[in-house]
Amino acid sequence: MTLKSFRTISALTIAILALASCASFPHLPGDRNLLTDVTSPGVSREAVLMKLGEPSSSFESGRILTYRIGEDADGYFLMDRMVRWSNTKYSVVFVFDSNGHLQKYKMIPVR
Amino acid sequence: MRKRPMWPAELAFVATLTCVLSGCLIIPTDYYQPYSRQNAGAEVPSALATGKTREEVLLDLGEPDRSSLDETELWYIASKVRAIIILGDRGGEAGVDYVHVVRFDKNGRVELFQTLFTNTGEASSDDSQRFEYSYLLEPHFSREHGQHPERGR
Repeated sequence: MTLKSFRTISALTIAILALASCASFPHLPGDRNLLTDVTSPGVSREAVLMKLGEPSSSFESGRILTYRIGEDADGYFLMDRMVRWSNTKYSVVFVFDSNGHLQKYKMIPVR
Repeated sequence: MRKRPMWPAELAFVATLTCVLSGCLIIPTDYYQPYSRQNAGAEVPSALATGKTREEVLLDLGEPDRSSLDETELWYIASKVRAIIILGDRGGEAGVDYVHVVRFDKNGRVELFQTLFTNTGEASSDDSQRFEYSYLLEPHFSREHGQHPERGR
């Protein structure tokens, strides 16, 4: 194996390690109570939007909202969909009834 | 004198030896790209069934990666790296993308679903090329820069 090949292998190995374990995106500090107030049955859509802000997607005229959530040692934090699924641990789905009250929600692990 | 043809094992040995001596190395891997979700691999079809509602699909799989404007199609995409390839002074990776397309009828129930597999590759040299779903990047079909899978090919 040539020296050049060895260098290539080393560079690739370092790059993979960096991507796999060290790469991260800036985010707000984690908050263990981020979802506490907005996951009680009957909470309004407005309350969810006021607490979590713009959802990453919505369906059926806003009846179903989704958010991307990351998690660190301090708790949960919101992730921007621009970074695709990097640092995102859960997709949280909120389903509201016809009166705009929370009917069900689920945290789906995506990573 | 007539030469004896090479046996497959001999050919494989010569090919491997040539590969090793020329600096070609293929490292098998099986991990998701750092930007990819990990709940949309080969296991997704078992979570889908005709007649499921959009709500049920979303509650099972989470937010889709793309959706059509009328919400009759949801796309779940996961990208895996299957091998790292080093050829001389060049390197790259070979992978596979799982694209699960879920189509709903006018009542919001799953009408059909299909999984597409596409091999992807990326080279790290100066003349690198990335082979991807060019049709996914067209901006006029879905909310997330997707395009209809049948029209886009």
